[in-house]
Amino acid sequence: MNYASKELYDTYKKLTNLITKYDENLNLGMRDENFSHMAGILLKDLHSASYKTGMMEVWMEIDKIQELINGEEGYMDDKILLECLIRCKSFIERNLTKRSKVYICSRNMDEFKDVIRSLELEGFDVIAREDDEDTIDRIYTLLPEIIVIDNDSNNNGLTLFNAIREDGPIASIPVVFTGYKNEETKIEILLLGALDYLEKPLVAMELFIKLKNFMEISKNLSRNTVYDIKTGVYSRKHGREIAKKQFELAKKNKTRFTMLLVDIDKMTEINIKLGKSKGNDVIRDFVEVFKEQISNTNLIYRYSGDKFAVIIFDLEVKDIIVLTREVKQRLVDVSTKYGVDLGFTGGIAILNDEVNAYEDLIMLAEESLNKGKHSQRGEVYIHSSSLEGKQKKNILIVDEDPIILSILSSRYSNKGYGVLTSQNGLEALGLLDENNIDLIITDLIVPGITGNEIIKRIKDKKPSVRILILSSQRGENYIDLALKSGGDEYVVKPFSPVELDLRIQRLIG
Amino acid sequence: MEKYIYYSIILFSAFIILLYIYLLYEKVMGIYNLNRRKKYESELIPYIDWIISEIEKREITQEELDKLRIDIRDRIKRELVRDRIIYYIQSFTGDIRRKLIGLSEDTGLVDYEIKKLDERDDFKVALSCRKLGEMRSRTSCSALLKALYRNQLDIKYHSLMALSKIGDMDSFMEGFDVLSKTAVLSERSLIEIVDTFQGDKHELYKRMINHDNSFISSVFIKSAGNFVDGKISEEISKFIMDDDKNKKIAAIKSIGQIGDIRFIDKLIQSLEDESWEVRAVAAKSLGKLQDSRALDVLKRKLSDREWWVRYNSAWSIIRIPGGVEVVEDILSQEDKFAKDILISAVENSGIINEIYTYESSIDLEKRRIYKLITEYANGREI
Repeated sequence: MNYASKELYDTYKKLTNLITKYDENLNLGMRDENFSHMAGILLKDLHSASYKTGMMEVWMEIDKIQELINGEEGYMDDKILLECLIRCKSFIERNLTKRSKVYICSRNMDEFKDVIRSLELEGFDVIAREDDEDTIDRIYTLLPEIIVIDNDSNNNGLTLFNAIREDGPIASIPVVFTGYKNEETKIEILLLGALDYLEKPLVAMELFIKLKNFMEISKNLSRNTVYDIKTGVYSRKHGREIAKKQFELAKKNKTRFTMLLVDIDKMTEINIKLGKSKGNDVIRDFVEVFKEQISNTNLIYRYSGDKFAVIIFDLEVKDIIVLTREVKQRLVDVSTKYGVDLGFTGGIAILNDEVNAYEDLIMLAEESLNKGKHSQRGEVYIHSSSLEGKQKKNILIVDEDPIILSILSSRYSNKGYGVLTSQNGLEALGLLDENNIDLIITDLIVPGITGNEIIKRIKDKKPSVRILILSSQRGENYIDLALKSGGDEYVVKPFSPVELDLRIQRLIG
Repeated sequence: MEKYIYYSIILFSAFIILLYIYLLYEKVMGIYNLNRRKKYESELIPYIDWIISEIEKREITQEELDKLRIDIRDRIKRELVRDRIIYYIQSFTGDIRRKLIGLSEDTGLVDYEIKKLDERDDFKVALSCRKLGEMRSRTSCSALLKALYRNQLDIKYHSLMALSKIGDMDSFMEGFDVLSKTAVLSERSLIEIVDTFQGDKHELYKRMINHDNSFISSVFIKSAGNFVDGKISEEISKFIMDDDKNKKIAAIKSIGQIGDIRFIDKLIQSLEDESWEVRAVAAKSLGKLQDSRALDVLKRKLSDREWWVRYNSAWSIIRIPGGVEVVEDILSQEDKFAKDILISAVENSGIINEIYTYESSIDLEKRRIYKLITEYANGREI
């Protein structure tokens, strides 16, 4: 579905307002019967609108709590309703972002009535406003696909056009002019880069068709934009495509793939305080801080307005949490620079066996982000499914004794780890090359190579692999040497299995 | 006559045939049992592993216990279950070990082994003692004590070792009482047994170093040294001046092992003991204390009339910080006796390798020591 219906869009607007109001009340611990009632009505409307427009995700979501909405269960649980509203909003947003926006700037909107109606019926989102001091900021916020400027006898339209052209990020938005017949002005405007100059009296159909055609061309062009103009990170489309390919690879090779969805907190307030232009600078600096903290092997792209998707391949969840804390610390400087309180809320989702498609992962990340936004902003939330079905960690156990191998192998397989075993040190090094190993449990005396040598070689080959030495050698010099060679933990045989579990957990989670 | 020859041929042939049949039977039974063991292994081992992983989390059910009890009626299955549980007991410590011991008792495995202690076959009895020790069940203590009265050395060793592994102090001490009446095990074996004790070792040493039997007392004193039990060194030090030579030697050795320098004066005093064994042990223990206060007296002992005293003194001198200077001093003197023993100790202890590195040292003193030692070792006159 490319365009959502106007009915659905209107309902969406009401929904957004209600969530904001409802959320505040809920956070204050207040229960308002009116809101519950309104939410019920709205969800009923949305239920029917989503069915008509074929937006089945929304329809199914509401269908789950239909008994509650219809009052068959009596008391309406605010929280359930709110969660349902948020999920619906998220689904609709994903569809509505496909709506093309047309910004019309004129002092005489009557002349554009027919054009606006035709565009809206066609499913376009039309923003019709008079030119004022906030026009540039508004264009920044909305990022319309096309701008229509109605030039007046004082050439105010031309002044606005010059302002747009001077402002880098929005300079590339196509502009169509309307105005009274004046060859000189028309040539000047066209020379400045306007797509067209339509003389008055306007022929509504002509303007409508031209706008549609221009937008089609613009859409095709924007599809090929690789980088986001404001921040320099990947655009949504390209970032998503790259991430999707990487997702398939990670799924196939069973490697790590974690999505961190970050949403800048209170960006609207920041924009109001600093203006849209400065607000964009804040976003750019915010992204710079993030880019500095993550390695080049990872991926970051603009997900939507103030949201960014960070795809991380080389870190575990706990390390990502540490990373976000570091980002927050670095953001203090940006906050001081702009005199604002800059922060972000994050949602994490991990690729595991339960996640089949990239879209599923996005949905999980969004769910955890929304949960964060509606409980305590400024924190990073991990989706529960990511915690339950954590990425399978692989352990390689090296010991000469086949019985200890079988005991440990069955123990840690039952605990959800992937387990490989080897009775020979050299064979173990081969297995390390061929597999994605997170932890090696090794004895100090193994055939083929000494324990300390194996530790050194592992650390040379794969420094990130954790090493736990499980040995009956209890002499201080053995322990000292093994740990100095690169071992992370040393457990003496006989050992407490509970202690071993805890040490393994500490090393690889 | 001819008839007798035929008879003997027939008899001999029958004997050969019977022997052949017996060997064939043994071979077939061996293969059969091996296959049976393999079959049982594939069925039982995963089940035992599962049971053991479960008892970490919960109590074993009566149904699960009954299944194991039925299984162990079969000899091969019993051995498999027993050895697997023993393996776990030996590999694991902590609460799980206590549960595993309980499992070996509840399944009846301990009772099976206790019953076998009454058999006539000494080998089987010794093996059962060993297995009981590995299963660490306190219920087997009295049966093991009884087995100690048997004359066979293997049985004595394994039953006492089993008591040591079980760690029940009273039974273990009683075991030594029994042994003191029939003591035939070597000191080395007994020290090994005491070192293995799994109960409160400190308390054991406190009680046993004063044993009436000086041999047993010295065994415990030496074991306390191996355990490096500093809390008991004061108690041990009393024996340095004991009349009994065994206790005296054990105490000096233990103080050296523990490294308690509070008793350095007593050890120095022991260097003057009339027994050369005491002097030799004291010389070595002083090296372990690594205190430079002992250097002068050790230097003097390089001229002791007994070779071992001289050797141990040299061995200690080179280990004590500042000892290298003493080496230099000795090598520049005329006492050839002392020089030879010192060089011998340097060469045998491995310190010679370190001295080789002094060749290019920026420290002139070290270069001088290198020169003195290598020249003397090479047989040249300094």
